[in-house]
Amino acid sequence: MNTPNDIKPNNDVLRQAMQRRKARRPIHELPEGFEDRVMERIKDIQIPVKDDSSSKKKGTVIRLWSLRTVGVAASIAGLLFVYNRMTISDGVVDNNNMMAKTEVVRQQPQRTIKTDASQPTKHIVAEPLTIKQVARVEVSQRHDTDERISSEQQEEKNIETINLEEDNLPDMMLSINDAERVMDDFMKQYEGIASVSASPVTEQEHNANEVSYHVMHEIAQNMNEFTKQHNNLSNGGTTYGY
Amino acid sequence: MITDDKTLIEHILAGETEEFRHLMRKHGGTLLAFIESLVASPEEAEDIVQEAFVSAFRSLHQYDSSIASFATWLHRIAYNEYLRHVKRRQLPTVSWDEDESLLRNADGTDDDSWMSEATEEQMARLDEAIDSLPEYDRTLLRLYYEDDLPLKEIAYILDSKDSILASRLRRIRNRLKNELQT
Repeated sequence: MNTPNDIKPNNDVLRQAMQRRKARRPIHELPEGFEDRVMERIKDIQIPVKDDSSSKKKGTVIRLWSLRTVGVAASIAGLLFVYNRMTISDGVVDNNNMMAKTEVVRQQPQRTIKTDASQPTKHIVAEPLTIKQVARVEVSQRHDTDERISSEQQEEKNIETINLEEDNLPDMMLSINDAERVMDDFMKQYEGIASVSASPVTEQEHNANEVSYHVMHEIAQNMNEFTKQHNNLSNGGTTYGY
Repeated sequence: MITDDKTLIEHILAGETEEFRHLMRKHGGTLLAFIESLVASPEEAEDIVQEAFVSAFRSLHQYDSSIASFATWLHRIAYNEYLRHVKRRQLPTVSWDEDESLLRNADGTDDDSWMSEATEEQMARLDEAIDSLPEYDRTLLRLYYEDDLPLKEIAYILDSKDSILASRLRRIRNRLKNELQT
């Protein structure tokens, strides 16, 4: 199809004919009194203020689209966050997340002990807490004190996460009572072996056993002494140098 | 004296109504000639142009210079007034469909080239052929060849599409060419 320029040649016969027709037309001027008649008719017409409705509409549309874009972006971010959380709670977690959570759990016993130092420490000494127990206490305290966790669902997720990780945590903290109990077991085992042993024991073996027995007995006594002193300290007794 | 249309319009919208006289003096003659080519009597043309100016003043706040020039905008208003006038008088007009069939019959060749020179006799025959064209086509030819308006502005005045007008113009040219060659 021809473009307008193609069908508008500079000076073909049709153009010449039209220009001749134009030249034949009389020069048109407005008749006398035309302007006054028009001015008379428009004098009572009030022109409205410049209509900016179209530009306002455009601005509104642009603003709406901006809000929609931001809303969609926020929704996507929210969905990704929820998806990430669901993946963790299912136990399919990457190593980075696992490490971060393990560190938090391991730090909790220290915070708990420091907090409880201002309270009577009898409870701590009588029932020393393992990492697992401290983690449970921490979680139960969170239920009461942590205002930032408002959602019950969020709390349940936290508990689930910690419980999953507890089974993999080693017992890293041995209490004094645990050490004492281990030592007592050792002494009982040693004495039992010595008393029921049917095989003849040489003098050298007997001497070695005697030395071992005395050494272990001395260690057990020291441990008992240490336990008593520690109990006194916890109950407001004298202070040691450490 | 202010001659710039945009400045004149700003003054009028600011309350200086008398400035509208300048707009009428500047565009009134062209507008009257345009309408006189469409209607039979000069009195009818004057009435239509007067209505057109009153309508233009009433809608002046809606004029957007980014869409069309003020002259083109005025032509559109005047043409609409003319159509309203024809409807009121119930004057016979050639319908578009009827007109299309006439033009379709004129499609004899795709060769749109025209000779650059013609004898006086050929020019007279061509003039008669133009007069015999439907009114809409004469308006189109006039706006295109006499007023030298681009098709886009003509489409704005006649409330059509420039692609449609381009196609119509080509058919008119073919028809006139056939008339000239017979």
